[in-house]
Amino acid sequence: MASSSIPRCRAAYGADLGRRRLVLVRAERGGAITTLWNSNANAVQLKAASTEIAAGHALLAAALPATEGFARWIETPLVTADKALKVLPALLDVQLPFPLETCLYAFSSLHAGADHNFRAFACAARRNDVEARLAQHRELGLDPALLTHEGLVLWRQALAEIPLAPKTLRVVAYLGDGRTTLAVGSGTDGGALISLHGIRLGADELAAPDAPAVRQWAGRVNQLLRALPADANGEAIQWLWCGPGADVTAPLEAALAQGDRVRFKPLAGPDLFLARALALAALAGESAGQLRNGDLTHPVLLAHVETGRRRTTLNLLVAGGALLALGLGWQIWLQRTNERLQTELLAQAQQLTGTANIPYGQEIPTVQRALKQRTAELQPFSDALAPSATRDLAVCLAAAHECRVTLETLTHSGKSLLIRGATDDWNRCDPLAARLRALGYAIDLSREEAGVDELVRFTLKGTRR
Amino acid sequence: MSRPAARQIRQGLALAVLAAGVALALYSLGALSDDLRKLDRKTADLATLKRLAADWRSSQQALAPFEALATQQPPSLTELAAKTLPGITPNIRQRESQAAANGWLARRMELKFDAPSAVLGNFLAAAEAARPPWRLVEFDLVAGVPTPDTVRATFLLEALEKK
Repeated sequence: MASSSIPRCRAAYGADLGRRRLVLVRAERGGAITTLWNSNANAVQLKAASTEIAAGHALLAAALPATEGFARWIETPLVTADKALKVLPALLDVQLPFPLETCLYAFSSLHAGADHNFRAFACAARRNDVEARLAQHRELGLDPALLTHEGLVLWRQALAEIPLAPKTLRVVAYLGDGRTTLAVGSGTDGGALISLHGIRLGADELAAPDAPAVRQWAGRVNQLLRALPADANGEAIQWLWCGPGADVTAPLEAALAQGDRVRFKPLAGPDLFLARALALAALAGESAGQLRNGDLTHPVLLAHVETGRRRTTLNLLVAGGALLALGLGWQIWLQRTNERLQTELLAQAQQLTGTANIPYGQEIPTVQRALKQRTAELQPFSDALAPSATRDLAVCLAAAHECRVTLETLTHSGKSLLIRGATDDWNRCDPLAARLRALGYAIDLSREEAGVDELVRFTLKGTRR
Repeated sequence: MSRPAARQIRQGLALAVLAAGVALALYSLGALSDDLRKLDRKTADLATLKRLAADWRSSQQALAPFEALATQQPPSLTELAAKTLPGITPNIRQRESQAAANGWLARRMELKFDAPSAVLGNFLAAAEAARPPWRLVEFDLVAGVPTPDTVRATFLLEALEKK
């Protein structure tokens, strides 16, 4: 998992420093991997790389040998991650052969096991050993920002390069000039690391077939293989060689008592493998097993963390400022809009009433009171321009004539109209009523049955709507 | 001042600004509906005032044609009746009057007469064509009174005149 405490550079260097030999590779974000040094460490000249690393444009990652460190799964009895993280150092302290205070340590792969209890993989090393390892690099002009337990990067890079089938067991064996590192795991859960081991015997001691060192090495490894669970599928244990000594492994393969249970295979570019793994892990911001921490943390990482903090602070400040600006802006707009509307209201009211002193919020009633009297005085003028009752009279008379209805009385007062009349047909009043409805009257028509004169008498009441 | 202390001050300041921003935003959001309601009410009040002003202007415009008249006294109804209702003498009675703007008076007159229905239109047309006009407000017609060919008409007319 990428860590926010590691800067994302466009390139990273991986340094695999052995007893006499240095392998240095450069990995770029585009995927290009260049070998810068793969030779004796005495005459190393890496000016361009040093400049790039010193300028902070690239990270340098180095390995802490497994022989110098301690690596183990720590089981906690806790089912919550936060609490588990708090007790992990104490649980590690119990298992370390040295006081925890004299060590540097890192936890990774925190997860809940099948029993729901949290477990994490712990890497630790004595502070003196970490400082000594850094000093070895500094003697060559290298100051690694990351010093990672090599077992972890070996295991992860091997998984990345050669995926592992579930339930298959794998041993990634790094053979350096002065050490052997073994990363043991299975394909369960996408490749679960079981254990890391370091043996202080390397290619220098193990090159001769009958050397006592080979028997000693084989004894350690056989013990380790015997402890591995039997493979359910009956498949052989996958053994991947890497490291500068990967070309002199024949005596070692022959010496393993359980050689028939193991299928040996070299990784591609085995001598560059650890350096490549370190560089790619650094490029990905991988911080698992990173033991250069605490007060030994590289200034580049400290500066990166400080930059991150400053950026976070700045983001908070900008977000707060934006909220403040928005809030204040809204309040100011609200107040100004209110004031503008109030000013307009007051000006309108003053103009309509001719009064300067109008109480706040009383503009409408004040104007209505003031206009009521004046509107009443103007009403006769408006009425005079509106259609008069003459129009209704003309319509009534014309309609009565057209409908052959005889009108007896015709009265119009205010909004009401009353017509009484007679006709020789029951239906003749209907067109008259329709004409009056068209003038805007609501009509109520009542008719009586024809009398001895055979005339239908009717009353038509209209009310102006 | 040490770097951690300076950092803490910066972070504290940023958090304080953020807290103030959040508080103001929450306050503004909390008061949003009230504030918008106030604005809506004021906008509606302003619209009402504008409508009243428009009505007022419209009413005032109705005054203008009367002010522009050369004669601001309506013609005598007796004279109009004499011209348009030959041989008929209406019974004319003054009704209520109402004071109008700018010294005008809305005067109402009631006319009662018996006449053939065909001549009623002549009288009313002449009355409304006069300047200032006599405007028919109410009417009551009874047919066949006093003879089958005549109508008993009662007209209420209104005219504006300047005192």
